[in-house]
Amino acid sequence: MVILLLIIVGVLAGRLFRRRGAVARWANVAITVTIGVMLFMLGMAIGNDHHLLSNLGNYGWQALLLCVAAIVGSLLFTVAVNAVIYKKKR
Amino acid sequence: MSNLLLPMIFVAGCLAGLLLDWAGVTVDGLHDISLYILYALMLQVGFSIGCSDNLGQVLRTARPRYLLVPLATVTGSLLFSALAGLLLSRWSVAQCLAVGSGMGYYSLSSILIMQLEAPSIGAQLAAELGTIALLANIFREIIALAGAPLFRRYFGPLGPITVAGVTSVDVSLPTIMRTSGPEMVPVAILHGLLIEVSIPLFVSFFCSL
Repeated sequence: MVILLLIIVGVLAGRLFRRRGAVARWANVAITVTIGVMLFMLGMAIGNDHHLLSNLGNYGWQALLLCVAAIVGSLLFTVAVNAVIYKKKR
Repeated sequence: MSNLLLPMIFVAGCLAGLLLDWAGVTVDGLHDISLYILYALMLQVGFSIGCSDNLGQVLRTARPRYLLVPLATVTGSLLFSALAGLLLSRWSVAQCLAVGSGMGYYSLSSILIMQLEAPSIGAQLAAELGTIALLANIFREIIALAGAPLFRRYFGPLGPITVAGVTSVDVSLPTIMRTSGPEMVPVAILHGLLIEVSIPLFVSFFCSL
């Protein structure tokens, strides 16, 4: 819920800078920078985890299999949803 | 370019963590800091939506039929995690379902699995399964960020959303906004929020089986 609230506060603040293209462009650059920082920290936490890294070969392929399976499943069912949603539109 | 840049930054982070480990430094409290960075990101995403000047048009595209998207994500993730579970003899199908129902929420799902599985299979195995859940759901986030343009091209604007799982409401939202278009932002937020609510329910259910 905190997340939704923050998005709404952000939207209201953004309204003040409507129709100023430069602000919107810089906002997008700032977003990429923030995601970069988050991913860097996530990587740092993993790289710093002794136990996790020493077992990466063992756990990694099982995790990858489960991850890819879930993604493939999601995409297949989304193909079906595409058929329903975008058929209605036409 | 930017879809290669982010995974590269992630790898750089891994190397930095590794170097610190060799130097004998243990990084602590990263989780708390990254939570505040996530909050900052949410403000930025809202700001970017707010000043993009087509908010009204964005809201008008929201339709009840978009509720089918989180349904597809959950059904697909669970069904195919169960199928993958048949290949992994070390774990039961229910345990693989618990991992698959993390849907990108690596911190919560791995902690829940470690806690809930420990009484039945022991702390050692529970930690192992929790680590697999952590990795599987981190992989999902990385793939969602790096592969978004690809999923957009072959599966339409809903592709990047469904792959992102729960992260469609936060970490992956800016990427979705860019690849699927700003009109997909409400769909992505609704998708992420509903999945966020469902994850603790599914994980604890499959751990209880």
